[in-house]
Amino acid sequence: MQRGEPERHGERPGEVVEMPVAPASPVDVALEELEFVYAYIFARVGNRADAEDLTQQVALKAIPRLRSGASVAAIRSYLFATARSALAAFWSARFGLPQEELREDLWVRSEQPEPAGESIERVDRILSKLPANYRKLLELRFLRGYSLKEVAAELGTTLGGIKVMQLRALRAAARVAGDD
Amino acid sequence: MTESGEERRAERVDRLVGDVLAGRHLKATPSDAADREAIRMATQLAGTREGYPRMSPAFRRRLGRMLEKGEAPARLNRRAALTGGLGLAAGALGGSLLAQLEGRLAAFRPHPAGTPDPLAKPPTSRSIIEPRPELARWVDTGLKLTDLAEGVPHRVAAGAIGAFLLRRGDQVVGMSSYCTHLPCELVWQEDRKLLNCPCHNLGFDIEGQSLRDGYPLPALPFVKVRVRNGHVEVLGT
Repeated sequence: MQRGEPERHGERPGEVVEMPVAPASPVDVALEELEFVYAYIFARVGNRADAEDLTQQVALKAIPRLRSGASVAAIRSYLFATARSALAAFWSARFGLPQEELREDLWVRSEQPEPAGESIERVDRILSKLPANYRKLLELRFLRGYSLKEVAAELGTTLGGIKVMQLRALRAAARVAGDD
Repeated sequence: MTESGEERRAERVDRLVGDVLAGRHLKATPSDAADREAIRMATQLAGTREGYPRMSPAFRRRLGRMLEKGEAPARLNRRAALTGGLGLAAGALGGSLLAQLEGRLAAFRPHPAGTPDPLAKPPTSRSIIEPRPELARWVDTGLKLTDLAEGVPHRVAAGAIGAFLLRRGDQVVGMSSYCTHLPCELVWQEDRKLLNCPCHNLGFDIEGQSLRDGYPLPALPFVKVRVRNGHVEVLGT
């Protein structure tokens, strides 16, 4: 058994510790808001390149709005409404579908941004409802960073076979998500 | 769908997935519309792999320069500039505007909270920190149950695991002492009754729940705690 470290130098448990905090500049404060927008977008597009483009779009659109004297809640609401709109345009451009159709989609329809941990919990729920082989494939490929070749080796199948299985697993997960 | 047709589509979807997982743009086109649900599921799965994603330092700097100057950074692509309403934005974010923004956003910062009742809210579903089995061991914190006051978190370290311990009657709840926003160790502020992040001034209540409005941070993960012969032990390394 090892002794822990209940106390640190100059500090007792529960004591207030004053830490030096540099005053945040207005730009830093705005960037912190946009960090949340970025996280919201990244959770939906899944890659940094598109998440950065869309976050820039949101920032550019929001700048004039910041002049309007809107309330704090209105500014944040505007940021996320703009992010939802940018996402709808993003998917519309990719798949050649009307934005109106996509606005009704699960991914962009919520009025309020979900807490950061909820998308992870939703994915856990979806994966838990899949057959074991689909769940393992998606976990290895998407959550644990395995290459498709490594996934094929792990599941004892061919590269061609695992690609088809990946597509089927994604379709099955999308069906589960639709019911979630 | 024929077998070869499905194989072609599987090949195509895998190329798109490979790009996304590598951090590159999603190159889907209208010809992929039939597989859009699968593709979007792939992006959602990929979107959870970073836990809580942060902007890269380089992108954050570019965005910061854009906000300061009210103009797009050099690397902003044409589509983002056009759809982002760049013309309207130019010059809009001058010093007075930034000051205005500062004033508005200040309200988002943690404010003194009341004295929360630790038992009033049931613990929510959230992650639990468990070291790898080959490294995990119960670490004596050096604290006895009687050392812990109700309603005051005590910070301890159990090897690689930093935790706040919170007494509830004869039981002790443990939660990570690191902010879920940036990896900075939180500080208990007795006067405000909150755990404060010294890096970005974000706060968590005594239950480990984010105090940020609108888009809360993930709650502080639990750590495993047990009381043996009156001694408080944490599952650490």
